[in-house]
Amino acid sequence: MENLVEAINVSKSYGKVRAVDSVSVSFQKNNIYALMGPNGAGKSTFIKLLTGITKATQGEVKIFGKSPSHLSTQEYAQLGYVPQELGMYENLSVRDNLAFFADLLRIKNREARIDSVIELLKLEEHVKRKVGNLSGGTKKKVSLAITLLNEPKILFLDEPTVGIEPELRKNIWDYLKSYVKEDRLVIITTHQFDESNYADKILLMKEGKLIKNISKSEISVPIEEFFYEAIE
Amino acid sequence: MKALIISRRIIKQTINDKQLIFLSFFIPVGYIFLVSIFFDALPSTLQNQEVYAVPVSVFLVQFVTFILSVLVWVGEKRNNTLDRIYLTGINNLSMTLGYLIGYLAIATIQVVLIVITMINVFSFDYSIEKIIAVTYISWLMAIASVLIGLLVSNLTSREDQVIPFVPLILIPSFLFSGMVVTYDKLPIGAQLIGKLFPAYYANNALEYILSVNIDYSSFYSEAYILIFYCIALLLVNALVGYIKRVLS
Repeated sequence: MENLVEAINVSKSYGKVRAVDSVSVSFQKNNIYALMGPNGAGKSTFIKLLTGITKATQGEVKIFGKSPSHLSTQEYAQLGYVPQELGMYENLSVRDNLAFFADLLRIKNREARIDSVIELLKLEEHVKRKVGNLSGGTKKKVSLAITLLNEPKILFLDEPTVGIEPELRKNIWDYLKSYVKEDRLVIITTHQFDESNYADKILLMKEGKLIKNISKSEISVPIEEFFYEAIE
Repeated sequence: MKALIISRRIIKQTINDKQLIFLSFFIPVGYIFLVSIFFDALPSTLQNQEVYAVPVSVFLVQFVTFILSVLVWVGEKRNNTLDRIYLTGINNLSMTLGYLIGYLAIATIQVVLIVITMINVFSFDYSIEKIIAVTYISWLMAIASVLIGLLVSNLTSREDQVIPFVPLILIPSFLFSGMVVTYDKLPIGAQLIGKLFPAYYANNALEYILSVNIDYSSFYSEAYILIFYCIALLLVNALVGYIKRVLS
């Protein structure tokens, strides 16, 4: 099976702190990988390492079989990333933020695509409002909408559903489930146990190490039980 | 062109940000009034305002554009917007050019406002040529300052890391560029430090154009050095961005 993303013995240290410690894992298309673990486990650092935004202190990350720094412009545009810190311009409106990133991504039928993600994430009533004036959950939705603009082949999502109402969360997950079926890959960090039910694979991190890499179907106990047993 | 998309966004953001408009446009104008109060209070022997007021006003351009470009760029890093922009596949040169063009549009308005205010507040009787020359040098200083600001931001990742660079760049630039002290009377070491900063070349150019015997040839030489300085800074910025992204 083709590896879209691969981490080979990847470590990241900040001074004496080893945020990610010798993690090796490969990610295949048509799958949603849920990256779980307690606070400070290194999930966000790991996802940043996978995108190539953060450089590994040791080891290697490959995207489409290449080092992230050797990706072409077209290949880069196939990566979508929702950072935990949102990554939007607070004094621009929702539509202006979407239009800016749509322009950078050279999206054809820009307006139609913007309308489509606005509809998907139910942002219609907020389009003219400045992002800085929105609630945390709505900001998350806008951040996700920006990432979905060009329907990238690989989605890196760092806690994208925090603060989003349950009904819409379910819609987003349903969308992601159908999204990966078209030869795409989603890597997502989450704290929500119920969300892991949508994932195909569960990666569990603790103190920077990958302690479990398992298919969801192989977990026979409730996910909470699996989680707490594993991190004990 | 991706650089233009970025610059358009910066301009739109500035228009939407009343605080930034106030800081960018009204604070420097207010400073000119403060400078005039300072010069009016000096003993009459030191009141050759043209010699000091013009370079000091140009320095204000450097001060404000440098601080703003640093803070806005670092803010982008903090908010992860830069990460997102990089993931659209933009290259470092387009990125730097985009920010430069965006800030330049703001800096151009800033420069025009400062020059108009300075001429009126100090009641300078300048010919059109002199006004254009002073505006042009102030504008080049603004470009250089934006690029120095971007370079500092490229070398740092948080606001607190930026703070030591502010005096490190602005103080020698103010003291050793010949703006307040005759350059030739400075020790060699201080002269060499002064030459590292664009204010030195801007100050020289202003001296040539504001003297009784205007020396256009020397003025253009200093202006060309400033242009090359800006081009070099643009390339260094792109290179530093590349090294940080690819090789680090």
